[in-house]
Amino acid sequence: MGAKAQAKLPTWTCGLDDIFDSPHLCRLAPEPGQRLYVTDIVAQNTTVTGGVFRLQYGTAVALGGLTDCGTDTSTLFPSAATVAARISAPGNAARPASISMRRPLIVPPGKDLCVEGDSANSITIQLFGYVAP
Amino acid sequence: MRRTLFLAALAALLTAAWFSPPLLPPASAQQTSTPDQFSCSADNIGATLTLLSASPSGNCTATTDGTTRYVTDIIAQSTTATGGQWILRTGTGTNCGTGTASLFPSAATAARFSAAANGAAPASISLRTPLRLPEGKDLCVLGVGTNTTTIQVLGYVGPK
Repeated sequence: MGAKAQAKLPTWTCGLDDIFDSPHLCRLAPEPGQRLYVTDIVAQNTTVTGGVFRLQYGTAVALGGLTDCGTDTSTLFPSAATVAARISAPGNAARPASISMRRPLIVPPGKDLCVEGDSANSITIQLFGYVAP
Repeated sequence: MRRTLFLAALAALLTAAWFSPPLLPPASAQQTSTPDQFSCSADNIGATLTLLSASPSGNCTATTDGTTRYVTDIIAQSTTATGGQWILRTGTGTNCGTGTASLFPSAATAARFSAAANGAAPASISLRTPLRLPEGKDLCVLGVGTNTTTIQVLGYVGPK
């Protein structure tokens, strides 16, 4: 691949540990005109029992520090799962969920990126991506 | 001497590559031009062929202007503790009901690929060679009755 064809975009990663079923802020929205692109997800339950998660976006609410996407919350992945978290974070004796996407998930401009975990079995998750217009 | 210089240059090149910032795949309209990309999904799908909905709005219907959809990534999970199955199909009309044909796997008409149980890692399929939708066709998914599927399909829109 030629030098002209390569893109060196600012990359980011964020992680959350031991989270349950309310949106937890993972990454704040970048500067105006830029968006968060999610390319990879790795998730694992903190117990031997699997749990589920979903990615959400919204606006973090300043309650003793920005902690969630409490305002204008929508589901990013899986985008049709408006009712509940659906993607498995396997139990900690099984291999983690590892999702790498050729086409990234795109967070709408100005929105923060959150993760909602499982109600019963907390999860640990790491997200990767880049910032671009 | 010449070989020594060559090996030194090679070592310098490898060292520079190792410490350089991570590079992303080649830039293209599909990487940063969001209008070309699509993200479609369906939740809790049973044994009924269902049109995928597009994120953040709309449906995964046929594109126009001489373009079509190319699928690059599929992630699927059962909504229950038991795995289910799914198949991607295309067609027109309500929920791909007219001219229905299978996209993936293309030779099947029944749900075949696994949507892992929700205690196991999801099925995550990333394609080096994308699946090309036939021109003018919508994208739908068929699951199975008991262990329904949630699915996310990613890709881009390109020339037909």
